[in-house]
Amino acid sequence: MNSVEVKTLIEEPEITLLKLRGDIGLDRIPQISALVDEYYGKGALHWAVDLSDVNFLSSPAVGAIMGLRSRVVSRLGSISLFAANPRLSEKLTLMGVNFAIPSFRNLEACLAHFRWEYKGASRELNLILPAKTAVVPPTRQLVVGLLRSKGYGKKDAFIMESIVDELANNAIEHGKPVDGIFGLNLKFDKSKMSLTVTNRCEELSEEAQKALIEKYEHPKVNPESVRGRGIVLVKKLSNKMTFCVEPQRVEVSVVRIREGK
Amino acid sequence: MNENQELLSIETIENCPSARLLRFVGDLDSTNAEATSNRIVELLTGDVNILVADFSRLRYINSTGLGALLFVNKKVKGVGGVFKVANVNENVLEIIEIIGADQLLEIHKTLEEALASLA
Repeated sequence: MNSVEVKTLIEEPEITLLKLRGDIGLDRIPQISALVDEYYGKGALHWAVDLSDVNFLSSPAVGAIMGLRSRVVSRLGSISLFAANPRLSEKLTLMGVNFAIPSFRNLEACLAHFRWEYKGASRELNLILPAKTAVVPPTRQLVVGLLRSKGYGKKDAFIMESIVDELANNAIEHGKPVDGIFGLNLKFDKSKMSLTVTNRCEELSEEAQKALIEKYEHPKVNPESVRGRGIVLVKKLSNKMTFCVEPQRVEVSVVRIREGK
Repeated sequence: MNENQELLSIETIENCPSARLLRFVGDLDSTNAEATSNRIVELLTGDVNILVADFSRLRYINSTGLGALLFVNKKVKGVGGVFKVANVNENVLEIIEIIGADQLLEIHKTLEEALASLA
């Protein structure tokens, strides 16, 4: 079996797989270089290096991978490593390779990263929650954790935490969910976050619906009142806010563009 | 943050018997806003009419928490006192400003500045 193999990945044809096997010493470098040159010359810009069957990776082999990284990154491409055994993984960390090239547990994680970074893939969180104030803090913290784990900055995460908090509390306190639950859907990709909070409610009269629509369309702060500032806050923190008021259901959606801070 | 840590601790201020220092730690939100404002307002039943809030460790505030602070502010002014806020972090300050509460609350950059203004 070849110790060096290059092929297009079936699951994601934009990715070229460099599969290494066994001990990759100095003697393997010409073969690696020739194959990499061939595929790079054909336009392969996104690479994944499969280390699952590698026992030993020499410094020149690491150098060849780093060289490939320089070439693809300069053309807005990418390279990732996956499935290194613990000993090899430790060695790569000691060599500082992890600072330059992301490393993943397996191909699936590697693909998820690629799709997030380069293909606009999104993540989605769908929750049905009891309409109780106590569920809001852990929910907003969960949202912050998810966003931070995908590279969102503290500022973006804080703003979405505020929006989740205000809309969830709004559904609980003002929506008075008739079934004791409310729904929260968060969808986010690399560039934006979308949140929808839905609750069912007791039959709203036409007048009550109009009042609610007015509240969402033109939220006002009464300086004398200590309440009623949540929607004003959400509207100012979000880039877009839409709502749907029905006799027995209220849904509020917001979109927030990532700032990157 | 230690979850068991109390959100609000109240301290006396040297040479100012009518003042109290309110130190906030963690999140002021819908789960604790009312209890917190009630606790602070209780202070006003005695000789206390000056409150200085140190927000250096207040990580988060929502509109209900801010509403509770505005309620406190109103009560303090009602007894002819002052309510000062100091050391507000960038995120919390943004929420305060968006809601327009910066026009209602006396905000100081540092606790030292707020305490010095009492003299």
